[in-house]
Amino acid sequence: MMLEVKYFGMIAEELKLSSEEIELKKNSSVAFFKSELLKKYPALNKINFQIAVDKEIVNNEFMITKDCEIAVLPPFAGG
Amino acid sequence: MLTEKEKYRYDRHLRMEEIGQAGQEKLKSSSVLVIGAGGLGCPALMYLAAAGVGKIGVMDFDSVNETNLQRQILFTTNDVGNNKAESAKNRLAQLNKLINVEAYSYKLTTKNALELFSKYDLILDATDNFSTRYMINDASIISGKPLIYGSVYKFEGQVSVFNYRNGPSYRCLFPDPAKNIPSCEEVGVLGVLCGIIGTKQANEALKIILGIGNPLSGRLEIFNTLSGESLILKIKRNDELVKYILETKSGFETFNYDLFCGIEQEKTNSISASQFQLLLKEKSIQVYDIRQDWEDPKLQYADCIKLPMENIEAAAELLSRTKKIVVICQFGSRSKVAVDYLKAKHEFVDVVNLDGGMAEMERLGLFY
Repeated sequence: MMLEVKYFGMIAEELKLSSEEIELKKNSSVAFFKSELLKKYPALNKINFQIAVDKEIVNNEFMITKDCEIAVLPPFAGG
Repeated sequence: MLTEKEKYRYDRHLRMEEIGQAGQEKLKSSSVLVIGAGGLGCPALMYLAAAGVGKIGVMDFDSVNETNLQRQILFTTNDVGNNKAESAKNRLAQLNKLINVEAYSYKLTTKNALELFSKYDLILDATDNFSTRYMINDASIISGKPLIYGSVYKFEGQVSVFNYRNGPSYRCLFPDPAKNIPSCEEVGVLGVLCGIIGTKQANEALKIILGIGNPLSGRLEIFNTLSGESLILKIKRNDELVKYILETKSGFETFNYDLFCGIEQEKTNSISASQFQLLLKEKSIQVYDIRQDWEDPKLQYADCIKLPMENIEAAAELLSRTKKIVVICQFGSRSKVAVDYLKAKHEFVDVVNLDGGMAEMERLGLFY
């Protein structure tokens, strides 16, 4: 499956990337995607983030079954 | 009922059928508490005051600093050095004398939050750190008040509405606190971003009060000033989490949000085996060995009180009040209990536990 992955905030800054395409084997969980992402970018291990699939925030058990849009979202503190 | 003065001032609201007199009266009888009179708070406060929200609370314990004036547009150079809440109150009074503004120039804590929140219809989070954000979230769940959330990072901002008509809470969005996202002070921020996000927060407040449009409940807007793009993500309510906050509300006042967010570290009462070896070499400590007579290996150290745990009261009389005391046992668990006891009951100050006990010393082949 082809994932269009968008990065935000400190994560986009750390990776020096706002988006990219990532290939993932069909019918993977969000947890699996996260572990692949952390393998690719170990710096993300120290940053908490949430994952949205097709513009909806999901939990680790959610299954990704087709090409979709992923958002990798850290919290912002500033005010 | 609107006075003639109010009808004149809010003419541009009254002309729109979506607001009209009825809407303006809703604004007049509503109240919003804005926590934080900084980058987000300033524009939010200005627009809420301009719109005629009848009662506005502004809370900030900090003073105006010149670096704030890059984005905190409610203040002037003359306000530098003065408390932000008081300065905001004065400035808003100049903007609109027809409303009531309360200034709270002290910190929000678990001890004052619930009482304060009970006085307002809506809460607006314009703070700059996670432990306060989680505290505000939980207090608004417990108080049953909608929470308008906004946050920024350099050129990007987030806005949402939490705890509104069974919608999700901040914890539903970010259940685990982040421990190391820097503040605006550390990484900087574009002034207009604060203006945009703070104004969006005021917009959400007005929509809720007037009952018009679609408040961002169950949705998170992420706006990027550089690309000009906005992304809206759906958030699902985590019923278990919200229920848990309500069920444990009696614990709210004593909950340590700084600890929860990793700002405060759990005070450690233990030292490692290698640290212990160093201290033994330096001969700077007194050792309290609480093991039974038959337990091995024996420690060869001069300043050592050997008394089994059941004689701890007698030991307490003998132990030094000036030297650091290291309590040891076989595996480090009994000694942990002894340390807690000596601290709590006998008010020993400098007493620590040997992590892993003498078994660990033996395992590592350390001198003893």
